[in-house]
Amino acid sequence: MCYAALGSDTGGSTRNPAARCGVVGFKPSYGLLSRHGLIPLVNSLDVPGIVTRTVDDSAMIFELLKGFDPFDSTSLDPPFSEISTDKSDEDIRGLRIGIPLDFHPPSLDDEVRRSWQMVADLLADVGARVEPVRLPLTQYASAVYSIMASCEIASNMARYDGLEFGYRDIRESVSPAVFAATREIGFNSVVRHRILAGNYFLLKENHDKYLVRAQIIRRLISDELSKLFNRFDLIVTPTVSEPHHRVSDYTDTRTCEEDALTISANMAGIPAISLPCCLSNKMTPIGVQLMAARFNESLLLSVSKWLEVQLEFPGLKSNIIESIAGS
Amino acid sequence: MRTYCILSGTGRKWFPKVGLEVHCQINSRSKLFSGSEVAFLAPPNSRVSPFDAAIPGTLPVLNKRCVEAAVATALALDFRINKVSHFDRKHYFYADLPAGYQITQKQRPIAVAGRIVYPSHDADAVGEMALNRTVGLRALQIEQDSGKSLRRECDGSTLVDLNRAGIGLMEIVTEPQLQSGLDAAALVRELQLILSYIGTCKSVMAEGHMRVDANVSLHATPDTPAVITEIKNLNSLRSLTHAIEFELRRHRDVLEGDGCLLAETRTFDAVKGVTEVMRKKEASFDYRFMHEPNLPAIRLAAVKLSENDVCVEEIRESLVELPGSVRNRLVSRYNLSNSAVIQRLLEDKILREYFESVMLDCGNGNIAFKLIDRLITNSNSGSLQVCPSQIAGLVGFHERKEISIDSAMSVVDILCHSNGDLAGRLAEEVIDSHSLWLVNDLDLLTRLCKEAIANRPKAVRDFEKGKRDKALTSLVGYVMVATGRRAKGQVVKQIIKYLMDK
Repeated sequence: MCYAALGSDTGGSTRNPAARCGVVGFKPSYGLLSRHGLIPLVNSLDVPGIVTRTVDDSAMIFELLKGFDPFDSTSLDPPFSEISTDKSDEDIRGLRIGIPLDFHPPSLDDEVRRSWQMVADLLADVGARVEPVRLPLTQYASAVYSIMASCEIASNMARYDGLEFGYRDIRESVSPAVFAATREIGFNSVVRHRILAGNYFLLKENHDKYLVRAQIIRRLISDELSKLFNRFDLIVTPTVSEPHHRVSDYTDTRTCEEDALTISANMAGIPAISLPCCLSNKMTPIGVQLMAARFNESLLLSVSKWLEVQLEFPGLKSNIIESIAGS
Repeated sequence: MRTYCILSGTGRKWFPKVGLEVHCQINSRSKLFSGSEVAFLAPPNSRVSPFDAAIPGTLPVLNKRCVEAAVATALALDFRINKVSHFDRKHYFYADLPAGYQITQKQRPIAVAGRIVYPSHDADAVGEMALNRTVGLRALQIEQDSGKSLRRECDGSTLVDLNRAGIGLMEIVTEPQLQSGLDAAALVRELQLILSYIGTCKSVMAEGHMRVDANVSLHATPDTPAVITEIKNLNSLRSLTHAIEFELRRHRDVLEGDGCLLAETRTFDAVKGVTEVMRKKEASFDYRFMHEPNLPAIRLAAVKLSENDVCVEEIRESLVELPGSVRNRLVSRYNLSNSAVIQRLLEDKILREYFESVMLDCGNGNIAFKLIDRLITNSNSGSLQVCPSQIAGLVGFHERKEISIDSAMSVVDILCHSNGDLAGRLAEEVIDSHSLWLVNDLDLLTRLCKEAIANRPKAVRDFEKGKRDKALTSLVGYVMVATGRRAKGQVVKQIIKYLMDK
């Protein structure tokens, strides 16, 4: 329907919907895209996400948007090689591809697992070194995320008091009552739950017990992933463990586990992309996720493009340049 | 060191402990984390950027000048500077805090463990000019100022002005070592002086550059614990002094009346002269501190490698001479002892520079200052028309007892009103032309004294009756008139006394 869209990816919220909708969802490395203007959820994890129909379009949008922004003190300008998305079979041979066994939860849907296998085979068939690998700390990522996220959400949502902008409950007149009424109505239950949890974790007696420990484990998860890229060029995983077929299935059963496969990339600040892989038996899209070392967008996008060509996902194909040239 | 205590009507001793939290607005052109202008008395909500209003999606960007100011202040107050420090969020809901949190430094402020040395408020009374007090400073932290909220009496509504929201503050926390309201005011006065010398805070309390919260407790012995109450937002030295004095008395009255003193937050009503409860200070209101994730840590550089580096040593080298050092010089080199004189010289740089150039050529600081003061009174253009050497010359004559102080003052008057004709002329010439030299001829003076005695029989009778002072005033007065006030009063007095006693 459009060439590109911007979203935000805190624990997978760009890649997850992209996988379910059969489009490309790309989360660059933390710090490469300015967060100025991005309504924050979890400042330490948020990255503006790019959603497109093709990998080339994602690469183009990324090139246009990346760069240091003086209005975002966490934005960076590392030296970058130009993104070229033309990889031939020859280039794939010899790449070291890691298949993390810890991204295989018991709940992993069969079709999802088969599509994951298919991608691994595609790469092995042209000579890539595809090997299983362990990332044992992955199992703690969801717990860490729920603590960190609820704390930052409680903090970031404190500004919604109805005074300077947004919804204000006008029935009340005295300041604390205005705040309480405004926030009770203005936030839905999911947000209210996260705020309450966050405020609990931020209490003086809890701060070190929960948040600080969560941050230490986050650092460990991040280090574990980063170290992996000393031995591997890319890792390949599913994007979501279960392709829900109906909206009601999705909303009724939504839990933190939904993000389990995508959270790690945010924790480590590394680039990750979800590619449409194939259709399920029920004709719903299944995605596959690739991750690379921080700032290694070049390799990530070029291998993604190669895979996209191999996979031939039956989606809307024409990219921006072709469409403009054609019209 | 003596321990100050309050004596109550019952003769019981109480030991006061007062600590201050001084919020000093950083003298910078723009705010701490956004580019909006720092301006006094701007129309409401005219200096508010989206970040200041906490519009979602805006992010803080640290103002380098504010860090430099904090480092300079920390150096001037003997703090230990943390090479690495970071920012935290302090959460509470209030109309003047748009984000629902203040960005401050709690866990690791930019500087800790400093001290301030200041002249004790009762130095004059005790007669020990050199008496200084030292109070420890717990921390210096950089933080955001809040906006202003004003209650409308007519309908009870609240108006919010965010111009002040986000202005950089240095919060300086003292140890609870102050002992009274006057002591607190003396400390704050010195702090104002220091910060205005180094230019990091304009320090005018009336313009909101500096606000003080006081924590007050009264102890049965210096070591027993006691309830602490907080008085917020004291915005003048006067209210600081009176609020603390009132609060200490209130503590004493409650404690002696076997009442129950509550840990409260109070405000001071300057009109009524009393403190009133603002809100009950819960034992520990939990601000849910959290590290600020949008700002990297402040890392101070050892060596300046790039434009963005803040280098401690560079700032230390460029620090001006501090008031303490200037004060020592004024006292020891120039023998000044009048604290009001010293304070004026400390506060007015141009006056001080003029004074010190006068003192290059003469020795009596007190006389020099008197003449300079006269000069200032006469000068209406704001610039001092008489050159320092002239004043120095007059001081010299006075020291050699060649003119009286009154004559010297007259010379100053003459020089001031001469419209530049006398600019080149020496003070000596003026004295000559107006016959202002002191009469030092003892024979002449003796003769005039005898004349006074002869012509003032009433005074003589008073003297003999024992009303010596009254008599002397009259007799000395006669001689002074006769000499056109060109005799030294003390000398005349001695001569008359000698003659009368004979």
